[in-house]
Amino acid sequence: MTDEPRVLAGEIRIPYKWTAGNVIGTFLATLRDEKKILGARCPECGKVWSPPLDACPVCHADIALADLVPVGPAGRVTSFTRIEAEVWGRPADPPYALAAVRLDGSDTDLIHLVLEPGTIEKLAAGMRVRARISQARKGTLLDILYFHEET
Amino acid sequence: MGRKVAVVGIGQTENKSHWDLTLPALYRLAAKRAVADARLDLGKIDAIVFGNSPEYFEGVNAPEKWCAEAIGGYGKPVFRVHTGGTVGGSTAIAAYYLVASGAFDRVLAISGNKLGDCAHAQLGLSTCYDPILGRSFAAGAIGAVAIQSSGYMAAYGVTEEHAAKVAVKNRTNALRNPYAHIRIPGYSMEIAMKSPMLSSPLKLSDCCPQSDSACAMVFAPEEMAKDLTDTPAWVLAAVGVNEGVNYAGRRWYQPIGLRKAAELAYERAGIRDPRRELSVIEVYDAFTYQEMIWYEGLGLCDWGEGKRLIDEGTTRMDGPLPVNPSGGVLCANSIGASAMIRKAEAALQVQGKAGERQVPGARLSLGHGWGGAIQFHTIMIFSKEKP
Repeated sequence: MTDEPRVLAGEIRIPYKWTAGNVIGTFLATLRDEKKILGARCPECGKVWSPPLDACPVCHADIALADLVPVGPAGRVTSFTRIEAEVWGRPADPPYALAAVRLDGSDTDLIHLVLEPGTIEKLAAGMRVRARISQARKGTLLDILYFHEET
Repeated sequence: MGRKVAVVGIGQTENKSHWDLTLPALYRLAAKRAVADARLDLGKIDAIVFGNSPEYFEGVNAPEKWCAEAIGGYGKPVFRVHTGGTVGGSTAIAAYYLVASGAFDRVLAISGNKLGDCAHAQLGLSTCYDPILGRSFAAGAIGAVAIQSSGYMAAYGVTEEHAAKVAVKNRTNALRNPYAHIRIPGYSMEIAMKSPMLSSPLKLSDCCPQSDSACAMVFAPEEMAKDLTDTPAWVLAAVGVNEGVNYAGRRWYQPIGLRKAAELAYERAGIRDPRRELSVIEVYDAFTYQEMIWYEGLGLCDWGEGKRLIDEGTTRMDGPLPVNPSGGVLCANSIGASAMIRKAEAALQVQGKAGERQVPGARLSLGHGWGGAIQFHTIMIFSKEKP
């Protein structure tokens, strides 16, 4: 037996361009260009999905651009977590929080960030929050900077 | 449901960091143990179903390519299965169906992972999130389960003490399991309650470790089973159900996909009162709160009543329905093997081969698994008696 290393170190870096598609692409472009959050109203069951999807997972109907409707920008927290540990390729420096937000007019939860110290401590199920939109938007979900307590 | 099928061989590796074993060698160790348990060798297996969780854990894409020959796959059918953390369960179920259908006789199901090879396994897990809408907020598995757990506490008045009791129960059980990773004598409520907060409400104590391990099971039809083992574990039910990820009105703490899987499994197994008829259960308790949520999903009690089973000691080793005699996923988690270990441990119980963690007189057992976006659920039910 020796102390020679029996492992090889390495890493994988491959750039990608992920296709957003028509419906989700329009959702992201509208957020960037008009600062509006959209949901998709299923033409069959009438449920509103935000973020939108290309097809309704429950009744399997196709969703088209005409099915996009405005939701939010405020809503209520349904659940949350305060992240305190320094791990996991984080979207922000701890402490921060992730909240599941049921935007007004939506039937699904949007998972997003809560960054303001005052709001992080007060987080609770049922709390009203509002999206803060970035001034420098790039067409991603991070064009919503974070959610803060609605005042 | 096709031919009657039994588990005739089980092999698992220890859950720890296996710096001496490559991924193929780790799989080979589990495979050899399983075929030896079935009085076979690797050459006498007719087909292999291969499971492995997200490739980012080992950084090796298509690991079945790397591992197939090491587990006896040369010249044989090898099928790859992948359903995230559920994969071990889905792999066992696929192997069961291959035998039940009559397509193959002696089928090896094998699944595992080496989480230790990844510098940041939770970072690997974060690559499972949708790249367009999900990944910006990905915090591994723990972020999603923390949101599930916090909703569960708010809905039903579940406390950190309930979670700590789950941790103490399972970490005490793990002392009897030579394959467990976390084996800490004297694990106490104080240790659990004082452990550091990671992602509220989840403390370190509420979370599984990162292990390297593989698990393997050999399935065979009725007419062969008696030659391969004196103690077959008969499969009464094998069910997998996918729940939506973010469907309208989803309550993360009410796993209706698991409830559906349980109802189907009980119907096939002829079980009317699971809490009283089952002898022992292994659930995929990657996080403490989930063990109580899965009690409810499995229909052992009503929604919100899981904490009572913990408070009343129902699921302790000395209780009327022990859950996770092995120590569960809280004490050993390679992800890829974990959902199969739940099935293997449940089968070992009805075989009477669970060693120090044996539940006396176990006749009917259930093994569960979950994976994906708290989305896929698998259940297998085993019986000591031939159906």
